[in-house]
Amino acid sequence: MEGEKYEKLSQLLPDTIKLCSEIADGAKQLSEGVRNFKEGLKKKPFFVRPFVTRDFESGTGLKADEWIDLAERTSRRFQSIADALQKAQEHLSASEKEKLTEDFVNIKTVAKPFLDNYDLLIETLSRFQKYMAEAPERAKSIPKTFLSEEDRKMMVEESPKAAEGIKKLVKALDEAKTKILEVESLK
Amino acid sequence: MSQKMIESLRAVTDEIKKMLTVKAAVGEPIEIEDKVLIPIFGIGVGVGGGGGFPGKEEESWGGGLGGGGGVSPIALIAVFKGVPGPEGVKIYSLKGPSTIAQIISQVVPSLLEKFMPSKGKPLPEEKKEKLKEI
Repeated sequence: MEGEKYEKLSQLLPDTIKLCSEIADGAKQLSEGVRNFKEGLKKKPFFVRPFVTRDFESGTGLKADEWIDLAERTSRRFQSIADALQKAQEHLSASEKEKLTEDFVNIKTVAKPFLDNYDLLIETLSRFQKYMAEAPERAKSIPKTFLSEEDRKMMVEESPKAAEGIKKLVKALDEAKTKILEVESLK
Repeated sequence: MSQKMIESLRAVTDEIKKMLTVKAAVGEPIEIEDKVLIPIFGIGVGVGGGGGFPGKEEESWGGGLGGGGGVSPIALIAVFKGVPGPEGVKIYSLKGPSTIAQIISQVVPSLLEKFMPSKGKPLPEEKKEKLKEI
């Protein structure tokens, strides 16, 4: 029975570590993207800035700075989860199974804030994804006077890519939740 | 100034005028709920000449000629639907800092809200706080 558990754990850990590291990278990219948006906004006419800022917040649910914070926190969180899983993987490979009990406690502790707030995180990210996916349609309704050709092109061509990136992140978070719970169930 | 020079100056200004049509001066009307806004663009035509030396007229002259045109928004005309007479038309200057506040408060909000309609609301503070736990 114990052997079966360790066998399953040794199969599950590498994929989960990889997935958590990818999420950490993806969340970092998201924070970079929002940071670029914030920087780009400084170059827009002063009377347009407050409206774009407000539109972004009401569309995505959070201000740009709040998104940067959330994305960076998520990235750090998943790096911590990946590190905790990695430690368990090392102890398992080295047959130091007595140390696994402590590893499971550590995994549970670092994963708890994510698991507890999973639904809200997914809901918030999905809203951001929808906002980006709808950007090309919104670009059509803004007259030339208020939107440069360069910005219009950006909205039409780049926003769907960002939406796709967020969608992948949401899917990865969903998979991560399942895998982490599965790892935790093997303690 | 020699006749040749006058003719050259005229040719340059005529060419620039051809380039800058009435279309470029009056922007596309923007219709929003209770008003139609018409942007007006200013056309700047500048022609400069330099050089020359004394001599018999009709013979030769020296120097250079240059021309340039610029288009920049100078005003917004707002025509209020259903308001007859002069009361129904307002002109907002886009020049000068004193009128910027007036335009921002009266025209830009309704314009941007029209074109950037956000139906959503920011996340409530308690949800924002929960997200900070991650």
